[in-house]
Amino acid sequence: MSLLSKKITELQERTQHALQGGGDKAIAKQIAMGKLPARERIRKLLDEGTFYEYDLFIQHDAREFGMEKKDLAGDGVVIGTGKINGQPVAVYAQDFTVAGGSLGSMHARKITKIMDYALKLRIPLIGINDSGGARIQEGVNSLAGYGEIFFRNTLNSGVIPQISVILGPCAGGAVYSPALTDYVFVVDKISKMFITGPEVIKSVLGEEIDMESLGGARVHCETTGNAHFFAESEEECFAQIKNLLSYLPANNNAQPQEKKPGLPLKKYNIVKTVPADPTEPYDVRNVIKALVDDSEFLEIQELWAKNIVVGYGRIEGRTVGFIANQPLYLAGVLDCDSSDKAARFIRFCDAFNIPIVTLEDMPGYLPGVDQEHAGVIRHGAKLLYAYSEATVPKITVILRKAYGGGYIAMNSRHLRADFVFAWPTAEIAVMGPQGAANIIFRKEIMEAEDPEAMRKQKVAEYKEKFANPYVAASKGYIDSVINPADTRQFILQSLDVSQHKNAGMPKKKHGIPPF
Amino acid sequence: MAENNKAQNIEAQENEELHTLGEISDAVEVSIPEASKKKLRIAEEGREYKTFLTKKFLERKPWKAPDPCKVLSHIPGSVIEIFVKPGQKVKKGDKLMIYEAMKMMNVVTSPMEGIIKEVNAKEGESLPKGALLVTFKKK
Repeated sequence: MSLLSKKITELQERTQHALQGGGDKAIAKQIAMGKLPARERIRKLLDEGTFYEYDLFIQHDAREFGMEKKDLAGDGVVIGTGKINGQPVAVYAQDFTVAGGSLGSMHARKITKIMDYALKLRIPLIGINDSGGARIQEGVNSLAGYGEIFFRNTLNSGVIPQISVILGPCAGGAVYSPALTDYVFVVDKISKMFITGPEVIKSVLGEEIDMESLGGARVHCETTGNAHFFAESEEECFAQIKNLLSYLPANNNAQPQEKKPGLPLKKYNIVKTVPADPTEPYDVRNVIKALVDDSEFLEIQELWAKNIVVGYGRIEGRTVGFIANQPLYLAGVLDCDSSDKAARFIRFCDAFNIPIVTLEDMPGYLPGVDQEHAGVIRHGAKLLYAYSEATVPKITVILRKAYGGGYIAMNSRHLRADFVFAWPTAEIAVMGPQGAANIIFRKEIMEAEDPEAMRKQKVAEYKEKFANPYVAASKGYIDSVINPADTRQFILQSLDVSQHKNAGMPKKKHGIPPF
Repeated sequence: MAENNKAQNIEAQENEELHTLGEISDAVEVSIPEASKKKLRIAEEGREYKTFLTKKFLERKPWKAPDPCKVLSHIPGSVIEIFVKPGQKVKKGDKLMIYEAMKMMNVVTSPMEGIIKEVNAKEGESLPKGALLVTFKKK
């Protein structure tokens, strides 16, 4: 055997050894938990044959508690680059089969290395989390590792899209990396996220709760809003990631890949979807589907704060971010959660040059002590801030109700919307006819012989005069009152003429949004 | 200095008692004395921290698992029309009632397949958020 082939054989043996991860037993255990091994996950997520792994031979450097005798393959994490939809991405996946995917200093250094590559190469970063947490034997070095990751998540924020996939436990401090990224994907029964677990909660507060109810996939999609996409299986989750990335640019100076333009499907009829009676609910997602290419709409956080809908579609092949009040849930009101959800989405779109289309049908803010005490003033302000700050093309279509503070908040002309259109069914006024008539005509109503009849008459008068789009149109607050059937055409031409939009903010270090 | 002390005293009186709070980690052993719900004592390996408890912490409601058999109102509003009776079999997504809130005739639909045990809301009734509307029979 020549010297070269000897050397190559050694390389192959070393590679083979490192690729075994935690060994057959640990891998069998991982599979028994319904989870795929780390490299298998990456293979399924990326385009076939595109993955190149780095730092396979990394060794941990712990010298306490007998760690010096332990061999941890790749130190429990796999990093590399590859392609999704033909576009380059950087990826890391924690390997639960190696020391429970615990995070030590070299493990963290691998992750921060691929994060630095992603930033330098200006490509999306995808992190697959499956870890028992800090490697206790490595003490403060392990904490240092987390800190370095969180710092880079913040540094990368708004430059490259960052995606977190929770495919196992992600507990304690570790949760803050996903929380700092743009999109969090979870899988039913597999994902677990919490700061303190059920046992600590029981011992400190005496409250009993199981892990699934505390921090399972469903809870983070429905209750906390920490996660953005819910899947039944890992395969479904990977398909969701690919679909999301197809709408996004590689970085903040790039454009999303254009797709072949298509028309909305005929079954989504915009005129038939929206009832003219403003008290009748409907599913606003059907309006969006009547506007976008091939009626394909990717909804984000569809299970949380359902009273507002956010997500991506395409118009003439180009990605557009949609924000729409959802009359089907909570009458489409604005509240703490819906403001929070929409504000975050707007900031992502603005950072990545994605135009925003707002569909408005909203009776106002949700009344209630719990809302006021939960800080609806502070949370609601996030929405105003995000819309005002955004400099991408911003188009608003008022379908029906646009009342009070909510009218201002939903990308009104006054927050520098580029184009505002209203349907003839729009009601743009300072408040609902009932409330307004009761205040303005209080004296007449009180002094009338039949106050109830007078009240009804005054409400009708107010409705006739003000619950329409023409008062706002007469002031130029809306650009056109349009036939609902022409909505796509109006959005399309607005996007077309906004291509070279150049609107800036005053020079500053950064703004101070109310968070 | 004197003024500082005074301010602290006032705060102490308002909070009534100074509490002890230890580091919260997996290794912590804690107990909440039955005698006073206002006292929280958390100690780790004999180490204690003295602290005030916030009003929000003291007034928090303990978590309770939601009862899948109870349909609650999600928003303050009023019951316009009820479509179901006790004993009636319904499928998931069937209309239970029209519930007017925020200028909208909201349709409350059945969250599951089952038999109605009780209709708790009455037509014309104004209800707060979280009010019991319909109870299903336990499976």
